Amino acid sequence: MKNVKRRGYGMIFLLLLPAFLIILAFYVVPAILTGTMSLTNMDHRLSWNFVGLQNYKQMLQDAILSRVFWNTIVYVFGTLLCFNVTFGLLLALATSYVAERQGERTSMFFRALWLLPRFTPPIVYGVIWLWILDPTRNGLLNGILSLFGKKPVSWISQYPVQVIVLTNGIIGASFGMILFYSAITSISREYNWAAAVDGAGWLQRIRYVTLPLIRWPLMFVTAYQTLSLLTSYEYILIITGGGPFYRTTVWSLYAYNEAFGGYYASYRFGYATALTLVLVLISMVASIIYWRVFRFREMMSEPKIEVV
Amino acid sequence: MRTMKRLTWLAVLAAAALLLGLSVGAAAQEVITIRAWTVGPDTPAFYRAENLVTAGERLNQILEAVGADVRVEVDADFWTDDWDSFRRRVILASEEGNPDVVPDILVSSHLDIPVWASSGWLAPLDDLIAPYWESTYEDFFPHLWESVTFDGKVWGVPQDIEVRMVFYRKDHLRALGWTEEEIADLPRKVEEKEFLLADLVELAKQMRDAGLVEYPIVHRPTSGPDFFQFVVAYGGEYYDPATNKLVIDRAALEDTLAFFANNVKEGLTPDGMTTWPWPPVHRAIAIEGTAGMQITGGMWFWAEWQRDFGITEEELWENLTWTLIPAGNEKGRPNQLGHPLAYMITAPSRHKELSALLITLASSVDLNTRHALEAAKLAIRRSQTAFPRFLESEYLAEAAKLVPHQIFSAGHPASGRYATALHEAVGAVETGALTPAQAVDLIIQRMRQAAGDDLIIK
Repeated sequence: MKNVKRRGYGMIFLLLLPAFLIILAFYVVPAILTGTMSLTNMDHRLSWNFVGLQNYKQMLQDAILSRVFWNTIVYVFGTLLCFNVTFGLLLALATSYVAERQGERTSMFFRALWLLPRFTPPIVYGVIWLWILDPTRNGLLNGILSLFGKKPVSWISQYPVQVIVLTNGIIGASFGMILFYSAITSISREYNWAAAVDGAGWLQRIRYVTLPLIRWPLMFVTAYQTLSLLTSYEYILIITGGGPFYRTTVWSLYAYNEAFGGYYASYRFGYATALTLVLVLISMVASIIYWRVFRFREMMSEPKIEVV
Repeated sequence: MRTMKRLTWLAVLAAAALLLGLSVGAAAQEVITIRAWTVGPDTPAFYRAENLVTAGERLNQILEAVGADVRVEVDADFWTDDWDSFRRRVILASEEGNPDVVPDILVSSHLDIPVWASSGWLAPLDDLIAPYWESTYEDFFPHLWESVTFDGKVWGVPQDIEVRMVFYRKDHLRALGWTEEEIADLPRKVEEKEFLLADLVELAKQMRDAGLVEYPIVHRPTSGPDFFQFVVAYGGEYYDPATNKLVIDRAALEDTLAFFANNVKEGLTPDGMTTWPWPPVHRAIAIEGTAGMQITGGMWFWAEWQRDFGITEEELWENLTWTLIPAGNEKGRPNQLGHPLAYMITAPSRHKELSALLITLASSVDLNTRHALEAAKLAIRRSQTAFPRFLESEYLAEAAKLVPHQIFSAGHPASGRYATALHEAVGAVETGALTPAQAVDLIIQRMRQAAGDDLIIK
């Protein structure tokens, strides 16, 4: 009996080993290196010159950082609430409705359409937006305005936050759409029929049947996308570059710029890694809050969506 | 018959021996590959790479003529993405220091020399170019050597030089009633301080009020050393060569930032100028004429506008004129900033002497002139200015008149960081996020971090 148990542990160890090694090599080791690097004033010469907590002290004196912090909050939760969750949900509801009425093929076509931005390479997607938002009449939006005799608008400087929320949200919405759609279609039809028999309209069925049953995917997408948005900056970098004057610089972009940005790249690797480490802490705190508030332990314990 | 047969056999044998001999000879011939990384980013500057390739071909002709058993192959690439990514590539490769990764030759900004040389990534060139001094390098304009000297040693061979300028739309000047003579006289008036930045602003207001333009004054959206020109125009300094320290000249910086802030307040410059991509800036001034002036122009735009935007040179002459950056006040002076590019040889290179020879061949008058003509750059050698093909270009001759007023970026490792901080401050005052005085404080904070004690605050 003992032997079998031991062999069982050996098997578990063997099965977990590859994943463990990968995490060790590609997460734990880089994380330790990053943490160590944040205690140096490493620049382009990449020398490990230890300065203690100086980088962290400098963060407290950094006049830009509070602006960057609030930008990050607005960007993450703005994109999350407007697009990644709400708009993703609307798309899922609409396409599942279409699937019911027009057949799965039409519905799939619309979902595929919303996936296009995610398939597009970031640089192409960014350049398309640069053309849409071009501050002169040559841009798509200003071209349309000029048809009505309106003056061109400098979109990025007038609506910087809206621009980064919109451009990221259009990509982000598809993630929620797919998860919510599959959750909605896996809801047993009897619930909806029963509700319909009880006289519930479409909206009421969404409110009282669909939403409660897809509660877990909703919370999962919220938590997962929060973490993913916290570390994303590539579209902002391409479209606004973080400007005008830090209006769209989020934490991760600020760290990137401290390391690689500027006319003559800064290469302040020490400070940049300290910034990213704080971002890791923020993400961890957010994860713990979500774990507690959304009670993810319950979700992990048993399947919550009834599969037909 | 027998003799015939014998002769045939002999011929076959001779041919075989010859072929064998040749193939043995070919196998014995050594091919040395020299790798070079060059940067535009402006696309017309592709001869920065091509001239090295041609230099290799010329060297091979000589080697072949003298029967030497060695050939050189030049593998040169030309980077048209931005400066940032080019530098990142060089820095990451140099850090690794592997001679199979790091190229032998680099072509980059003279601003990179203090940083790269102090990091030990470059080879000092004094001894390497000494053999060619009389034949080639003595002919270079002497001031260019200053831009590639750091810590008492020469680290680069000047590759090109240009001037910066303010471009004005002539059609709008004419519409405001300027005569051709008045337009032609503008460069002199700027040079002799009869036309100041305040007059430029006045002119922009006239264009705006007459409804001629949508954006009376535009400037480069991205960071660059151009903004130092305004500091000098307002009588300030940004570098002290005697102590090799960067200078923060509060008064001149505030005047500079107030100039940009007021232009936005008056509706002369779009408030989001620092968020514009480059193409609309070029289109506004060169094609559509929706801009009146581009105050941070560069002479290479002339080539870019023709090559990338399809405008003919006649159209450019018809619609555009240029001057130095006008003085801002009595203390200041009209000026323009030059930004020389240079060939450098990397420290890990296994073929430093050969690289120096190739650079020397690529710096020949004809090759450098074809670069100057294609990319709209100025001569680096005295004899180039008498070279027939160079003389044919009216544009280069006219632009070269601005040279006496040239300033350079500071030869300090934190110089680029200063340019970035100043550009950041311009963005801050243009969007109204900071006042000019607050923006100067931000520059000081940034530069204290970047330059430490190498800073003089006045």
